[in-house]
Amino acid sequence: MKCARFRDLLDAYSDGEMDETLSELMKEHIRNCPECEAMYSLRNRLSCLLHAHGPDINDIDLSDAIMKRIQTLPAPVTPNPLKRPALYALLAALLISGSLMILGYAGMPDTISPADLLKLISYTVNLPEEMQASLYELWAFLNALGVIVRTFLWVVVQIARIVLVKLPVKIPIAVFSAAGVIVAGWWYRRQRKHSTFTGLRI
Amino acid sequence: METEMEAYDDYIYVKQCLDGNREAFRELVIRYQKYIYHTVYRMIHDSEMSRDLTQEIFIKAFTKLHTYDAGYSFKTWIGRIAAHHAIDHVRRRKPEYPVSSDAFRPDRPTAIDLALSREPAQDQKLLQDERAEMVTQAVRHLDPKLRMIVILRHYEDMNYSEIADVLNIPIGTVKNRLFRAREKLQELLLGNPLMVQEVVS
Repeated sequence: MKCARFRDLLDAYSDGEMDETLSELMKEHIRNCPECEAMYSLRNRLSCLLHAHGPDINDIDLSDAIMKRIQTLPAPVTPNPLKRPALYALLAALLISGSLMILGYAGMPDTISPADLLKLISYTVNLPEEMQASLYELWAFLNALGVIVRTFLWVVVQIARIVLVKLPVKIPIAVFSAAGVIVAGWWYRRQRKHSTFTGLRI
Repeated sequence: METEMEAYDDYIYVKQCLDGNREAFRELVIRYQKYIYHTVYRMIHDSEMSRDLTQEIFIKAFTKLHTYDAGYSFKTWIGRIAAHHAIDHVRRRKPEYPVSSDAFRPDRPTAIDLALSREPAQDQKLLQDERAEMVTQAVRHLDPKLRMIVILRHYEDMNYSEIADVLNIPIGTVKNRLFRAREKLQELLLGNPLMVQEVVS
């Protein structure tokens, strides 16, 4: 071990924040290098000084004073369900699915979907050939999108039926719900890992 | 830092508070007032002000109780509020707590000098006070962020990951600040590099 490396790791070593293998290497280095040994004992000396000469602090009991002030405060708020991001996501999904249903993407037979409308236009209006080809491509794309959206909506509707109407659970519904719970759980954990819980950063 | 059982009890108290039982908060105050008061006192060295700040910290915790995340222990959570409050306080009121630079005159003996010199027994108490005063002054000389790290590590005996949780910073930053704080303290307390040899011998 080189001295520079030793000094980088010195604090972790003296604080006991090091695995055994590395600790052994540090010990070995201390035995062989008087300069680093000096640094190490300086650190120890500092720790001893800090421990031995902390300020004298009297114990206090502020519980009565604090509780007196707390009695005058409004009760702490129980978490508002609308503040949960998962609920917002669900609401957004329902909103999107609702508008798509109106637009004809969720299997409402008596409305014309935008994809079909596009096809209709491309048949009736006399367009240049290139433009017609790209319109067909767009139509195919929208159709494929429609299938995906409809599948997604079916899942959402099934989950909503369980949650809202409490229908007896059938196997496909159970499978999709379980998948939903797993995804939601994963999302929540990820969310929690990346968020700060009081928003304080020092 | 604390046992799992205690952490579970804390969780129950928080739940009871949120369900409308304010008295449950008293248990949390009794449990953590010493920790909060000591941390704050070590930051600002003013017992009257520390009492006020400790009260404010608990009041804030109470009003923000719904944001408490059970993924962390209550001690960590309230410690974070306290650390934030105390650091903020020191920054705002800096001129009110002047640190005497007198303690660090180059000709003044360092703590090590005092420790090494063999004083007669009757002077031991005086020596002890002198040293304690120097250590206190040296810690107060640190920037508030570094001071907080030293307090949590050396006085509250927290490990790196506990400190990282309390201050909401990465472990790398904990190490970095601790290194800077210790270098500064060594410089202030243990004197010049010649001292190194003296300490070793």
